[in-house]
Amino acid sequence: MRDFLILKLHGPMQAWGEHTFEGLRPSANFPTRSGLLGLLGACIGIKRNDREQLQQLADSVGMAVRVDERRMSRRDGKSRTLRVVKMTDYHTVKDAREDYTGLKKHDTIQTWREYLYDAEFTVALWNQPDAALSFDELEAAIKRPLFTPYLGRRSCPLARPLFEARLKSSDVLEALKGIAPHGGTIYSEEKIGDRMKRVRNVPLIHQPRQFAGRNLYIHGGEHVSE
Amino acid sequence: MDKNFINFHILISHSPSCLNRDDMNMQKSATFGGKRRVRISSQSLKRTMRKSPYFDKMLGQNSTRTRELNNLFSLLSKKMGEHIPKELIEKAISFLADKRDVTIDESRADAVAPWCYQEVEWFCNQLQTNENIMKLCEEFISITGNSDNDKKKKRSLIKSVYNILEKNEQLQGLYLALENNIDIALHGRMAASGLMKPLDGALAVAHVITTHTVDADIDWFTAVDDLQELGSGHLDTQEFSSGVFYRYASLNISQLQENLGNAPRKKALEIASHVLHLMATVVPSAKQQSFAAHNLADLAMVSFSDIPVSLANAFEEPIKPGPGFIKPSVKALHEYWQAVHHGYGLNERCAEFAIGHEPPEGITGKKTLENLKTWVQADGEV
Repeated sequence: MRDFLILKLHGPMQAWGEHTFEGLRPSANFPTRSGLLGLLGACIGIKRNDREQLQQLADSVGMAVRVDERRMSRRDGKSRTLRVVKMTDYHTVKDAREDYTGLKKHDTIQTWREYLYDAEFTVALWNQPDAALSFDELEAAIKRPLFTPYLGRRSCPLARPLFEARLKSSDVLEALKGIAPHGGTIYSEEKIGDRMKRVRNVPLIHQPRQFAGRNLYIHGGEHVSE
Repeated sequence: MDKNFINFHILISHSPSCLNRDDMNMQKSATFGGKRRVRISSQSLKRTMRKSPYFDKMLGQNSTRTRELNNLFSLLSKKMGEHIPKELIEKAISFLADKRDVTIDESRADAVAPWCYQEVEWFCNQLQTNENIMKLCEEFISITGNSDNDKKKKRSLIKSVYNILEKNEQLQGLYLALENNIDIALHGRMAASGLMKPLDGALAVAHVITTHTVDADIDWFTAVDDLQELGSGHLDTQEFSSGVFYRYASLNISQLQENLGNAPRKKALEIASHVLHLMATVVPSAKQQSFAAHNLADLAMVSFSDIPVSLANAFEEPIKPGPGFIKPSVKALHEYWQAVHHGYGLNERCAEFAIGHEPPEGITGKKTLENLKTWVQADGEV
């Protein structure tokens, strides 16, 4: 039996940044490893430039994300399924960097930022062997965060507390089985099936804005490859 | 440790207006609970708060957000030119922005950054009193090229200035200069250049959304040309709508204290009460000359909490009119607050000021916005 910490990410808007310069700012369809580490780091109160602690956090946790299938119950007793919608927000920025035109661009540029609406994710965390950061510390931080936690962007607040459960289970699939809503696609760093997706969002802490790749194993649901 | 977060929940009803637009001249919108809502971006609301006369009066100095260095130079020369020579101001801006000629018309920094004039003033004083810093600064400005080697040289010069300041225990002065700038403490600043201190903003503001679905109207309009006998000089369309909007923001108290140079909690709470006032009263200025939707909040709820949690989900199932939108919106918010508070054992201290509504059990009612502000200043304990 292993220890799992279960988090819920729920709010009207979320945005989990993909690779880009500042012109187009796409969101991944579910939280990235870098985004989740940032969220946990904020709860613990790790400063942006404290690379040692950031590395310690990164080395301490493994994670799986479930894209929840949401049923919305209505006041009249009926319920309906909500689909995640991705919409683009138009925004102007002075002096941002733009795709493919070099590092600096000195005009006002237009940016298009993607947001996920009506999304909800369940995250399962487990401790890596020799984790320096204990689950007790992590749980306490998630319940009483030091910095402001948010769902990928500062303007995307939580609509419920992050903490869902702390439980013991034989594996990540079992752990998530007990957490409503049931169903949904699970993306796990630990092998849980034969389907696999390659993503590149593992932050290289000592090389800011650089990312390594990782394999995500897919279970259940209706994964649509991009 | 006491509650670290103050959550602000506001319901505000706007008469027909178009307070925030996209590149198609349509209102910004969102999908929530599968239905279309009208949205006002957090950027728009934050700027409105920063630029309001109330901010100026109660929270004092606004930062100047600009990359127009020439204009910045003129402004700062006016502000401090009486006691500081203009050449020094010019040098300080050059060094801080890493731009050589800040007096010419088209001199621009690489990015829009919030400038705090006490910071520039402080650096001018360093230049005046420390020959070494002056020498390093002049050397920095004299580098004309932009090669990797030049950049490396500049970085090492900035580092040398740092070292001198640190050695003389002067570095703290740079950060002290920021302490009077509540704007930067609230909204944050990205690392703009070597000496400028990056700060994480203490206030997180959400996008504002309507509590109900909105079928926006399109107004077809003409502009009459007084010197033309028939017809019109211009015709166009403008999308608009009315609605009850939910605004949400959370303030991280300890972050604000830290940003203000470890200010006492009391100071942070005083600022929080003014943030409440702004959240409940300011309205973005877009298209207001044609719509004049200058409305005040119908409800302002404040909670002291361990975690910042938005109550937007009270409106995930869109509010249906009956009668109007405000009444059922307030009801839904109250019911949802009770459910969340109880369901998650949030243990918040909560109070509200609402026009014509009684608060539910667990929330202290306040008769006026001023009373609610006083309650915030008293740490929600009265």
